[in-house]
Amino acid sequence: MDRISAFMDGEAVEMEAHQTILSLKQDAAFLETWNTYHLIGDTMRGVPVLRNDFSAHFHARMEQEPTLLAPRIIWRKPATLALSAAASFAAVAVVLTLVFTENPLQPQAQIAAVPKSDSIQISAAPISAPAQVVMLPQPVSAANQARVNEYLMAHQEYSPSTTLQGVAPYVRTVSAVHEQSTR
Amino acid sequence: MRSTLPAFLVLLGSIGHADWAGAQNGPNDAMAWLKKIASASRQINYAGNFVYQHGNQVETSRIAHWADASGEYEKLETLDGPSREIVRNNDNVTCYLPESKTVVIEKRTARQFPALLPEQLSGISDNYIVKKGEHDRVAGFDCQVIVLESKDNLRYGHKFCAEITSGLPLRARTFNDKNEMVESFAFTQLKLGSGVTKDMLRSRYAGKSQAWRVDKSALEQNEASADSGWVLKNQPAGFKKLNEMKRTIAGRSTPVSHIVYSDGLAAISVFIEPMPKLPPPAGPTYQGAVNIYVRSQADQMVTVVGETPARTVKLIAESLGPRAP
Repeated sequence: MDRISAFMDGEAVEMEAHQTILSLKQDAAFLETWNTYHLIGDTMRGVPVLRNDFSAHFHARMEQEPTLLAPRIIWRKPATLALSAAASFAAVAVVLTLVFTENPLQPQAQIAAVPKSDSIQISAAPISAPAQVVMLPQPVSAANQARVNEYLMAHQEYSPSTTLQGVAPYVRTVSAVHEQSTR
Repeated sequence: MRSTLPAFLVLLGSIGHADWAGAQNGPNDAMAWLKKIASASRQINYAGNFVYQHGNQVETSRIAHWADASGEYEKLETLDGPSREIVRNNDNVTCYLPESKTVVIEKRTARQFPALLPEQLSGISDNYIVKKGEHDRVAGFDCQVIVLESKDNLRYGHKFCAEITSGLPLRARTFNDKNEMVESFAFTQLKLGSGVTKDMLRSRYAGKSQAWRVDKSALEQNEASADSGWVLKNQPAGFKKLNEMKRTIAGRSTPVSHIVYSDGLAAISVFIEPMPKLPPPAGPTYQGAVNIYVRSQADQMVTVVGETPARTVKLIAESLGPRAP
């Protein structure tokens, strides 16, 4: 057990260190001691101690996690969030489509076996129903915003719901102009 | 309260106490609340901050509203993002855009009725289940929840929370048929009645904007009732034609036909005009709770706009065509 202690303190020479790592991999009791030493060390240093079966749980959960091929989501200013979120969903769909069509050998089975989760369902939806067929409404594009605002204002002069919502007509267009100018 | 009180007194006198108590909780009372909400947002003086939420976007704005013998005044300014201020004095709307040093002057007919009309009310009770909900609190004020549940999937459901004494809507939420919130307006801070002064309506930029660029492209607008020659082959249930006119729209060289359909609460507008040189992409788009559908027919462009689910807007867009000779 002195080996562990030396290894932890960085005092073990290279050969010894190699031996210790091998033992850690092969000997459960040895690994247990390693964990205990670290637990003692953490407690003494005041590092918050994780539950003692943390690593077992972590590994179990890790095994169940699906392999997700997702682009990094780039967070922008809140005003453009809806659009960027929509764009990233679309991007995930594109990545998954590529995986399905261009590389049929490898990750297909794995992805197909993935347990249902919200993120997967959203991104997978356009695949089962191709985008060309089902036209889902998209946010009004920046290029068309001015045109749409004119229709919106003309429309809202006549809409009875405007009477109940009070400020709605201006808020919707102000919000849209706001979005456009931050893009 | 002023408008609803006499109605309650009449009820009291004619049908007795027990029935009155019943009426207060029944659909009639919920309808009375709707009328109260409709008149309050036009007649009450108020000033406060509110949050507008649609999709996963949240925006904060400040509003002040004033009504007196000379008319209605309103000021709206954005509190996040680029500064913007909109000042309305009856029909005259001025929009200050300090970032681009621009003033946009427009004329918008204040056509909103000070109260809901009887035909609107019957439309609402035909198409929505209107009921009183619980009491809640918004921006520190007690309010009454009024629920409008859609009877089908052609229109959105609504929940209003109206301030107990004035009836001012403090929160308005719109829900789709999956009961997901599509849009929400809610005050986070509010002053009512005597707490509001007319200076709160004064523009911050009116003085500074003397040298700014002035855009008057939407100032000279006119409209007149006219037959567009277009009809709906398949009118969505509950929607009736409200108006049909020929009007000018800023940025268009030719007049546009405008037909409005309504179910008493939600409205759908149809715009028909010659196909522009650079047509916008056809198909569905949305902005907040408003869905838009663009399509072409012969050499005409049809744009359908409405605060309804996308399916209703699409239904109207697709069943629209020139009247058979």
